[in-house]
Amino acid sequence: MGNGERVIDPASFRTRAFAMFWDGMLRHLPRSRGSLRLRLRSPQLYDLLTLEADRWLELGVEIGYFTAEPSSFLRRHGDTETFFSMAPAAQSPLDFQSEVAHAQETLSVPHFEMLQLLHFAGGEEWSVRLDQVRAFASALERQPLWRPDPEWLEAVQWALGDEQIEEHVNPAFWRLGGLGRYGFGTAHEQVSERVMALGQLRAWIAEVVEQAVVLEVAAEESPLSGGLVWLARLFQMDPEGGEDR
Amino acid sequence: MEVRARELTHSELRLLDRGNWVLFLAHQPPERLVVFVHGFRGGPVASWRQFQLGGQRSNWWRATDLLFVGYASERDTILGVSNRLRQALPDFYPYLPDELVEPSRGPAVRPTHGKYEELVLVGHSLGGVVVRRLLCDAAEEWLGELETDPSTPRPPILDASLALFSPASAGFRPGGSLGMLRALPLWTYINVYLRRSTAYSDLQPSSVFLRETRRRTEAALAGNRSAELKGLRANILWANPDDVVLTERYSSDRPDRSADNTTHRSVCKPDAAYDLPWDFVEGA
Repeated sequence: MGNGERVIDPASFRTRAFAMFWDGMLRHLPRSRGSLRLRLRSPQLYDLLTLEADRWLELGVEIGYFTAEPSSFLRRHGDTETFFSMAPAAQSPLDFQSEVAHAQETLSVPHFEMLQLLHFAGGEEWSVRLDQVRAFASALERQPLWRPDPEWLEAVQWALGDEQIEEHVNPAFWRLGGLGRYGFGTAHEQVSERVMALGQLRAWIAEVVEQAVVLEVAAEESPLSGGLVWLARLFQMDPEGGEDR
Repeated sequence: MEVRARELTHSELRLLDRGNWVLFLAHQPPERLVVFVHGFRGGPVASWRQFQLGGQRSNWWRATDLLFVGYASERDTILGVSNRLRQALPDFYPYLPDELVEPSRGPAVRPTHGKYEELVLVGHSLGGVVVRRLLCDAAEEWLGELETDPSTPRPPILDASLALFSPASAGFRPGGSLGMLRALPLWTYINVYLRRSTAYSDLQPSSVFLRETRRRTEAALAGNRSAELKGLRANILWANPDDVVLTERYSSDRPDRSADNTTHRSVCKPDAAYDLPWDFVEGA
């Protein structure tokens, strides 16, 4: 099935595959706006993600994972070290492969939305979106057995992500590290405040869910606790509980 | 033990048009395709940690292409994922399309690629139910076609061997929510809990879906074509302890094993200190 003109070059293959994926992700996102109510107004997010990709490519070339070739169709921004100066944890192509796979896997529409809000949203937009999450947490607390409707879950999904990019010191690190110090987006201190506010709400939601699970399991195991669940279900029908939806 | 390769043996290709599937293509001509299906809210690759580094350990893995399947477990039904995978697998097995080895006519990852000689389906937790259902439905469809045309060839998908890590095929433990809460990353669990997906409901021990999948699998293997359906006989590696799922196998499965000091979440994640998952899949 092969032919005589085929060029065998795994590093070049990887470079091309990486660029195709990253470019595809960025092209795909705007089409998702309508259904997901994304507000990715700022081109800065796209620029930064492109910078991150370029930094991955640079580091990959240094470590022997990618090849330096013009086949990359990502835009070249030049001085990526200014924005991604931290030393990568990867010391070999094998480590690098795992890190770059993880960085790509964490790219998702809710993750993009979180980045947009943390780094580039104006104060009013940030407050409105954070208030939505706060109302969501509050509704959960009042009604432990509440099943949020998909529309509301979608609206707050950006705050419920389970990506763990903060564990990795590499070109993806900026996503939670703040960019204000480089003159990009919101001031660094403000991003830190936003990360902290979001973290507090997430801790609240986690606590409420843990309590609800304990209640449910107790109901499975004991009729008395089952009565508690029944009471909780009654609270679910409380008209006041519905306003936040 | 074989000498470690210490160099890259596979290269990654993400398939955006498939949702979020990921291929790790062997640099040498492959002999087999191993397909991985993750559990609740898993990442296609992250759920399996370092499986793609198997080429550092053995020639078997160096001659293996790995396909990591992604799906939205919080939205999709088990049957929906199973059907999608059953329809898509013929695009990858037994022949992998040239454009995946040489995308956009760019440099190729390896010289040639012929026909795979082997298919292994690997599932973890919910993913174990997905692949069981896939094989069960494929077998029933083929057996039905044989009734009208006895010369109907066996579909390639039934070549598969089956390797399952703590499959949820007997459902969650009673009170399994607490086990899941402890076993899964916190925010993974929270998302599963809040969405209460159909897949989550289908994994309750009383689930009709689970009962029917088991009954139909065992019925297919009780018939006179059972020798040609050996892929339905699962090889299972359970976590020990496993706080999340009931550790019951089908009567038609092969003898199962347990991995001590692993959890429901870690049982399928090999690394330098825990290499059993690589050996388990290789031996399936």
